[in-house]
Amino acid sequence: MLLREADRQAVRKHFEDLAGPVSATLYSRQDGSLVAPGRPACPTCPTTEALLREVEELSEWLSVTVRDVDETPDAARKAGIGRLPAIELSGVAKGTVRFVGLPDGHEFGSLITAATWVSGAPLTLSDNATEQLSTLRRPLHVKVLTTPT
Amino acid sequence: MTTDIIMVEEFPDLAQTYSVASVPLTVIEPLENGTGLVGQGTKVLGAQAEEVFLSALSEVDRIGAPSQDSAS
Repeated sequence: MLLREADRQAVRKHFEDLAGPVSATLYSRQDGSLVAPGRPACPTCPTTEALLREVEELSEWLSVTVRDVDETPDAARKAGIGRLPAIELSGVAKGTVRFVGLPDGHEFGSLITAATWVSGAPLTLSDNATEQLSTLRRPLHVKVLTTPT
Repeated sequence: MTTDIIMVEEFPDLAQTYSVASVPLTVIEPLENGTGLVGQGTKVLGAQAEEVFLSALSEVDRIGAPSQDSAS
């Protein structure tokens, strides 16, 4: 088990705020340690899948799907996934939130919070922010480059 | 809008692409075919307040033609 019992309880508590079902799609590589030309290794893929499976057990609203990019390359390409592992969260909320790399440390908390947002739970944005965001006319890609610790 | 939270330590090429000196660093790009158009209206921010972030979103949103590069 990757999560301590205290973490599991905290996540269960946080997931009480889920407003609807959340789908977490993991784009991964089954044998992440195998390196071949044109096929970079994904050393954190197995741990990411194990982590998601543990989180999936903590709420009936959360479902996890694992897509092996070697078996279904079109799915990853269509989703614009170029790096592994990648977790795509989707729910009734507009937009998509993805985590690229293993979301451990502080970013595990971000993953749980993001799951709540995409479920349609009320956001804490100011009226001004909501108004400005509603004026955007074209799709944008926001990348937050960070580290887990 | 698509938001990627990227563990940059796992992807040093991205750190090089965006000259990451410290984290968090936020990059805003026009989205096309599921991914950002690197260098085409790219806006790079460090840890900033909401107002600056919203302003940057609007700035990238306003960029129409890919050739109008306003990287900063």
